[in-house]
Amino acid sequence: MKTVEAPSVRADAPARARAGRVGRRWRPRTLVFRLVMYALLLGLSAFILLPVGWMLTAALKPDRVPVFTATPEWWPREFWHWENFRRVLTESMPFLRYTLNTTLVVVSNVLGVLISCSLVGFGFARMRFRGSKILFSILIITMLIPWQVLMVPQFLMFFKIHWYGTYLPLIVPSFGGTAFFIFLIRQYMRTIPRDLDDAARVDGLNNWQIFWRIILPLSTPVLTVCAVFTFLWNWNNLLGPLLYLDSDEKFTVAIGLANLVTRSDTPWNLMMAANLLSIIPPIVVYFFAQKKLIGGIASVGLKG
Amino acid sequence: MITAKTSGRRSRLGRLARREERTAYLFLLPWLAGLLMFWIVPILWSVALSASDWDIISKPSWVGLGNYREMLFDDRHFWLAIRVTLKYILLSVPLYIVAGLVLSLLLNLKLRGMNLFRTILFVPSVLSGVAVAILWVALLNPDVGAVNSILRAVGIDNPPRWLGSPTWAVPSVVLIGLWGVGGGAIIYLSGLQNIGAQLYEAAALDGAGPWRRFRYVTLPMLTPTLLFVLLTSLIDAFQVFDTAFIVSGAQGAAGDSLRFYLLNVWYEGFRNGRLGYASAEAWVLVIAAALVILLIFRTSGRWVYYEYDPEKER
Amino acid sequence: MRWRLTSLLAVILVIGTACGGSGSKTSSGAGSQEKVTLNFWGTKEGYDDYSRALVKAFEAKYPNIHIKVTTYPEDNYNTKIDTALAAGHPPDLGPVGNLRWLRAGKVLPLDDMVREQKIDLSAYNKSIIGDPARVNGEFGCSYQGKLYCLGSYLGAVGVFYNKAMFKAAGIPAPAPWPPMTIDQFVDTACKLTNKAKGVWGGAYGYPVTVVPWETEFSKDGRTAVGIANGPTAVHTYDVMAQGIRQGCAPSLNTMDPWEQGADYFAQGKLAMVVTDLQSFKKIENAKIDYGVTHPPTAQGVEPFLQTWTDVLGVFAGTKHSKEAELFIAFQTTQGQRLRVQVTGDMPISTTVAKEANWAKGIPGREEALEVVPHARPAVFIPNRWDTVGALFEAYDQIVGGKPAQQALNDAAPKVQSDLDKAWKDWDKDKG
Repeated sequence: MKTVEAPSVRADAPARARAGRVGRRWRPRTLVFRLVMYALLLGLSAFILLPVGWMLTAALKPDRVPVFTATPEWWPREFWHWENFRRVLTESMPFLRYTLNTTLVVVSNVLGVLISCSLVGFGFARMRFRGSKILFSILIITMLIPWQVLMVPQFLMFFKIHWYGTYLPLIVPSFGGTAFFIFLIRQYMRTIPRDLDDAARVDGLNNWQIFWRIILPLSTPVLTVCAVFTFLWNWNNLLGPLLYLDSDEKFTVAIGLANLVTRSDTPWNLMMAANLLSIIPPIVVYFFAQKKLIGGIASVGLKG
Repeated sequence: MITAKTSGRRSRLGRLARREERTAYLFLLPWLAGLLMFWIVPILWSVALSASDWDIISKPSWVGLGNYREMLFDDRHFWLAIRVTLKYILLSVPLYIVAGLVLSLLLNLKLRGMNLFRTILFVPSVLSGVAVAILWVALLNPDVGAVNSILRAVGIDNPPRWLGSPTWAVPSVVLIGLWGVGGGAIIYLSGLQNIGAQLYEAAALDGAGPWRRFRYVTLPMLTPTLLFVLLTSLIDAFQVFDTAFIVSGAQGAAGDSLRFYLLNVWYEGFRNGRLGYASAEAWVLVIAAALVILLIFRTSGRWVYYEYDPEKER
Repeated sequence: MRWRLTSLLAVILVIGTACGGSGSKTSSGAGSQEKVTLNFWGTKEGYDDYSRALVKAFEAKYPNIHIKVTTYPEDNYNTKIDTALAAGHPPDLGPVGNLRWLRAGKVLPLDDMVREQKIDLSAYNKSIIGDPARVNGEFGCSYQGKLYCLGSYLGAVGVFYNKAMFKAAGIPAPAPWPPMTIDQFVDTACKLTNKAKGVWGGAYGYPVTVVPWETEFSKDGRTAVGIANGPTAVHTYDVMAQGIRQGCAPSLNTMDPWEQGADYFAQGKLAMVVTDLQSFKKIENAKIDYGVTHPPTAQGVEPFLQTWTDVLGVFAGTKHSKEAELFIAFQTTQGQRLRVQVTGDMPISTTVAKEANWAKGIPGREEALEVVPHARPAVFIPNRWDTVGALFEAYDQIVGGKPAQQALNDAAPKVQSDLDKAWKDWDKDKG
């Protein structure tokens, strides 16, 4: 029943894979169907964008003007104080510096995650060894341990080794892998047919080469997901930087944003403007990462 | 692996297997090293803490199993938190799994502008938890929030009071999470990529319509991803914290109806200053969740299909 | 010969003072010439402008002291300090309004400093400075007879009311003091509600944020059963819920009743609102003719007004306690006046309010100044917010239609159980 023919494994296999894009994504035929789908998509987009529109409306209001109104305003009508964005960037916090700091932490984390999780994920996905079941169970269990209880012990540990006040506690652990991504990558890699492995071993490749030259390139979609999520999660992460950093020069965007929240006399307009600004980098990353999301084994040009 | 099938010379088989094992451990090295360096010590420390009374800033004092005893017999917040969290799990996990799957199928269609739609649906995941919570608390205001205004406009006279209603408080949090389900859909999307077109072609040739193609090709090939989403959604639901924390504030005007398990742990540990007790509660959660998760994981062999499963190569 | 000896002595003296000065850990205040850096961890309590101006003014007066300000988010500030204390590495200065820290001895008492600097606390709001015999709870500054913090402004809960609406309805405006009973409040609200114009007569949050806690708890804070479901409480909850059910008051956002209240009031959508008095700037901006009165109370219960300040104190373990204390003294004296100029917040001392002309002749502000001196310390309940969860739920149910007596009968034992647990933990740490 298997109509997959293993391509001969050559050094340019990944390139050929990308070239031969067989229409994996289904092109809908009937007009009615397409209209219905578009309607659905538009409806969903409205569900998403209306609240964002509210944020924009709030962001464009001047100080001391009510932000919560009896009938919600989905789109700015009266106030167009674009300078609130400028104010956020310059007055309420040193936005540029915070962004640079955050970028440093985020990019390092993405690197660490991609390197470590792909290696470990491959190990769990396609290698046979004693204790694999136990170790994998341990991996899952570590995902269960709530950060709330590890927070203080980990903090004290990092303090004792003099990493307090630096970015090290925020970056180095990512090179030790993240259970979530290892799990994800393992699931994904297990969907790649073994015929590729077999053919490779016939050609004399060892495990590392199989990993590096065959499996990894085919795993671009899942690695993209990992990169995007790591970027996102670190961009928004508040507690780590809060605990381990102790001077304003090192602060990240998340801390700057959280600083705007006070329980009395909150500057809602600035807060919404700041939130809108902070969405932009992750969205840009995601938009460009989308191309990589499509790929995988299905795009390996195959003849039945 | 030709050698796996043939009953070859035992020593050669052993040596190859051992070599693979060593290589495997090398691949696993980053994780093992990370565990040792950053996890073992804090975990052990945390377990020790669970048997002590500690206000973080003074010296801890040993209480043995006292924390566990108090939790089970003397603390209504503990049982309340279990009820609230259980309600949340039962509501959210099935909903998020199905919604994410449906959404990803939608997003996988080849329509024009799909890149844009995918980006839009990803936006909620990008917003920080604080922003999302603040936003939705405003939208869910019983009197003047947008949601109820819309409900009234379509003729529902007595719309729910959302966060202000003991029955609707947890569903409100589920709704807020549903707004962000587009982020999870991209995980399904990546899983959808590995389903070979030939399988669809073969099915179509056999006369299968779209539903049967979905049921007999897409779904089975998606089971690894489904398992992942099931387990991680469960784990997330056990650990729900952010939205509830922001809605009720650090000082905590959390009515009983929003007292999620980890929020309760947070209050006990960091507001009431009893981190030992909080750790004990957290470890109870870990054990309970571990049992559920491992059960699902062990029985997953029956319904999950892997193209490549090393353990089946014997 | 003599000339050489004197110059030698002089050189030795100079070197001696320089070395000795830079080596000493505890300097003697303004006389020392060494450069001292104090770590000040704060929250954005209000405005950057004020803290910057404050630090600048202080450093101008004391050039040898440098204040390094780091701002942390309000919601996480306590955790940050906890971890710092656990590591033995706290800042020198910061808000210290956390009873746990006071009890554990992590904050230095300021009584000596007040005496030395001759700070006159007589006009300071009593609920902050405290009555030495009582334990003040998380918003006050005194604990077991000692003073641990001081502030530069006064935040308070009050009632804003729209004078024009009262006049139009022919209802006499309430005086700043004494306050209305909750019945009068809700009654007036219903009279002033104008559905046609989209105006609610009143707005208020949950009962525990409006009426004094003696409505639900005993004076010693240890008993809830019998009181929380007693006649006063039942009647109060019922009346307040009725107000919402009849549409005389909007159901306010569970997260931030304060902020939304002021917004609606400034748009002319509310005739009265129980909210944070710091919002008066927003209201004045909207040109509303407003008045201020004390928050309502339940029948027969002593009125209560919640107050707070930027409770600055000095952490134990600081290496520069004298300099730190100087900053606190400065912040609460010149800082107050500076704050009136920069942010316009109400000063914590009524004397300063008069001297700096904080009221600027605005009647509403004058009334506010009449209201706040009536503030008193609250009933003390350890882990306050952890004990009232059931009361929140009960009120939600009552608003939803459940009979008040039944809802509170269900809630009272839960509250009692939470209360017992809180007190057990508290008493355990005693001594």
